[in-house]
Amino acid sequence: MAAYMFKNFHDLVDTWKGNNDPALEWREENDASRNSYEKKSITYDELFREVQDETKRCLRSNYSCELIKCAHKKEVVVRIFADVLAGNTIVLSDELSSVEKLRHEAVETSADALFSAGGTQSEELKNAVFASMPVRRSDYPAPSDGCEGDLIFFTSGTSAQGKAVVLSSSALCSAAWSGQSVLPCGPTDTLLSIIPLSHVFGFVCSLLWGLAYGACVALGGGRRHIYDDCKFFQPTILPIVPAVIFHLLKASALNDELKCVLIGAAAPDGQLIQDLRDRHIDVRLGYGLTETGSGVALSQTQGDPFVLEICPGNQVQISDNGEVKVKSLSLMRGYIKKMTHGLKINPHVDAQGWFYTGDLGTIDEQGFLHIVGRMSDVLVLPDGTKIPCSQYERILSEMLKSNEVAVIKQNGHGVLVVGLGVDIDQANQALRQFNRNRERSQQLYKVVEYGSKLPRSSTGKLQRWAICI
Amino acid sequence: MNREDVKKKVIQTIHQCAPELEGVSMDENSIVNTDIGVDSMEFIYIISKLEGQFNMRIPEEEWENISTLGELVDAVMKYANNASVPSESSNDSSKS
Repeated sequence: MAAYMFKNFHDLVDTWKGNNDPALEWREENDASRNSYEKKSITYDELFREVQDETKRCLRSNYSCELIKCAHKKEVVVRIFADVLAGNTIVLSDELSSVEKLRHEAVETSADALFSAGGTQSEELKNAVFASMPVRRSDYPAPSDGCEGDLIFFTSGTSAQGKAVVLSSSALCSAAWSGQSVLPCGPTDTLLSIIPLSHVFGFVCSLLWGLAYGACVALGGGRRHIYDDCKFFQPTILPIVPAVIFHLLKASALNDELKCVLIGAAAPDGQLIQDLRDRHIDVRLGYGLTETGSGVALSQTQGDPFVLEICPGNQVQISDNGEVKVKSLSLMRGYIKKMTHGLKINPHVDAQGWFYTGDLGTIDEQGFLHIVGRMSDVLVLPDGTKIPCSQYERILSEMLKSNEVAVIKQNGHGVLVVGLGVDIDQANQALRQFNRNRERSQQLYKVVEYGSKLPRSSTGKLQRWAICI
Repeated sequence: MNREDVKKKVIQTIHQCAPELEGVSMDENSIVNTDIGVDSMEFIYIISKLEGQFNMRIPEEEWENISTLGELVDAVMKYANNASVPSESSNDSSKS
């Protein structure tokens, strides 16, 4: 039977009423000193009631755009739906976001409130984030739907700060429907949610999809429990990124009940896919962007995992220069653009409604999509981290007083390659200093000596692709 | 357990979690996230194993401050202070 496409969150949440199947599961600590935990759950009907009550509270509030620290907690899930139903726009921020990052996101989106599932700590955080900011009502533009708020996701970006992407609840419901049409889940499934809900892949594939089609969503216990969540919750479906599933597999942390792994955010290597298939796990690779509300195309159960079937609700074409362009029911409203007075939402599509993805790809005779790489020079690591090569090279060149530096990917890590004339000890020292000011995921892994001059084009442009190490 | 014993056990755990590092020399200043080939996921694995072995918990807020082997040993010493350390062969986790 064809999946039903929910019009928006109101439409979706209404179907939870009277449903006594488990909607959410999470772990609760029995005794911290003994590291022992108990599984707690809530039914769809109970979730419906909690969302209704929270919506009333949100309606009484005096904010219109709320920043939400997206921990995998029931309170956060309830707040997300309640805010949107109350007509408040929400900005989904990583649960580990620093005060500086939250401040940046608040300024960029004109957020005027913060929600964090942290009791009194939450108040302290709120004060720190909004400290010395002028008290003002958010000037976020009116949501697209008249009654429901928008959802804003930051792209991981090519530099420290990504773009703010505005998606409507109906676009996200379309994305969930699109996934359900090719990879159905249902009440017999437990879907483990451990990837960040602040990324659209995590939000759609590890939360919304499950809650829209009746699966039980198990909310992971955060970094500390990433290696034991599978054995604890025994999921049947695991949306994940390559770097994490690689380590879970290596540590024998996967459960026997797991039947499907949905990989997104970056392309895994073939061996990883084979290792999972050897465990009789259906491995699916998803292709999509924040701007397209996650999934545009999905790989098949068997055969070449890098051959992608276009999901319903999406059209894909390849432009003359090889760039993948997309029309989608789940396409963003646009990027937020700061104006002198207030904000504007810039749709960023051409006159025919095509969104240009920045990815290089081809479509074969059977209509399957093959992604070749990025048009820009950004390295995408297996965990989805994006390394802006040119920017890093500029900084390291200055530190080493040499332009014989290149940043490339090796075995899934960003590495610094130094050409002839650069002292290796100095390079190692520079890299330590360079890494010190960066988040761990944004650091470079090591220095590699190239042994000769780095390859360059006739115009002197560095040819990273020609560096063989 | 004195500091040297704890350090020995931490190195043993690193090797257990990342067998490819057997034979790689490590000192107090070795960076235990990138320099010796331990990425952030392996780092979490090492922490969780150590917490099981030493029956203690290093608060997550402190993870970001642990860069070197020496700092990791210090953290284990600090939080395992009052815990009894199981033998080498004991199970590493009592979670869930």
